Amino acid sequence: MPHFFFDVDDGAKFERDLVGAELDDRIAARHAAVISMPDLARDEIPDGEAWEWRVRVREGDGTYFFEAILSFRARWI
Amino acid sequence: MNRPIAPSSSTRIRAHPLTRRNVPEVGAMRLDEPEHSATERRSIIMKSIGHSGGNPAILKLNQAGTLEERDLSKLSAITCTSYLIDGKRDIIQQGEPPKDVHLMMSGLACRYKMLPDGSRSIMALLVPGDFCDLHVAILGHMDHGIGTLAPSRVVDIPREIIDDLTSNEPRITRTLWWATLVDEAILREWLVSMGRRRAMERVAHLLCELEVRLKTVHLSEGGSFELPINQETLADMLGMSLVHVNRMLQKLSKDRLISISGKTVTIHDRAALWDFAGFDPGYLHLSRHSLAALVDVGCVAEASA
Repeated sequence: MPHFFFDVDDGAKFERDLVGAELDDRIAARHAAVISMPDLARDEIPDGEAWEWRVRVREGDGTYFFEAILSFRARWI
Repeated sequence: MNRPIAPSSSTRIRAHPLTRRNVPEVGAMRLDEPEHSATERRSIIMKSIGHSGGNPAILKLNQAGTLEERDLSKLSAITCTSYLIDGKRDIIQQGEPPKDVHLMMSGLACRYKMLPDGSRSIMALLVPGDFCDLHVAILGHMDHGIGTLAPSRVVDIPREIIDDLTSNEPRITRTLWWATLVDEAILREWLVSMGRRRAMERVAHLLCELEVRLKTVHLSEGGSFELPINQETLADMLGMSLVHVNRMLQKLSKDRLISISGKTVTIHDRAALWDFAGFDPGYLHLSRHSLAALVDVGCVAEASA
């Protein structure tokens, strides 16, 4: 099974995935990235008005092929 | 018991019952020497039976603190015949009528349920010494499955043996109840983790618990233990996505709280990890002796006092 890496950028910090995971294919890797978004947001709701989490998926050779972005907006009305 | 007696040390126990009149020598110590307290005698007997690492069922049940020599040899006889089952196999499936009680002697298993979308939720981990389904025979069928996560040794204890123990062996029965209650306590803690702990605390809490449970059955040494599961399984256990579990493990490693090498997890600073996870081993209801052993190897006494 191919190895995929999931780098996370929370707007303040870029975290390079050093371990990765073995998944069936790009479709499975895309799914893994998408379902991780609520987890990222759950613990790390920032203090501010706008925030973006970005998960970028790369293959073992470093090729990025997918990106998921979750954005947070908050404002007084 | 209507089954062959394995050519293990338990055969010797049958030939030479562990009475105070006829006791094996362990090193230079004799069990009948008056300077040994009851606890020390139990500990000497436990070292003399079972395989090198000790019989995990006895090591675990002895945490309840009420077993005597007769109980230990009885438990040893019951658990002498185990069989090997590969990893990722069902010990019993959801819907099956439970017959035997399964006891883990080595390896790792879990209780799980499959969801309609094909995903799996793991509600409990079963380590050596854990009974898979002690009282479930009262119910007509399994409402969840039990499967191995790694190659495991399992003992099938026929229902009649459990019935005999509960009718005739009050001290063993008490320890079996203790084990059942501790299982429930672990499940309560699992629920707290799922519902309220942040992801990194949740991962850390699980590692804290596993280290203590494995240490009780002599399978963790110096903060290191084997965790032969992949990230996907860990994600099913923690109710988290694989990507997030992966990320949390890397953060814990980066903070030098743990390290992972292959299938070996090492806790570097137990006190710090306990503190970070909000882990208090009280819910495992261990013996004073076991708690003291945790303190001896460098964790904070206050956390478990």
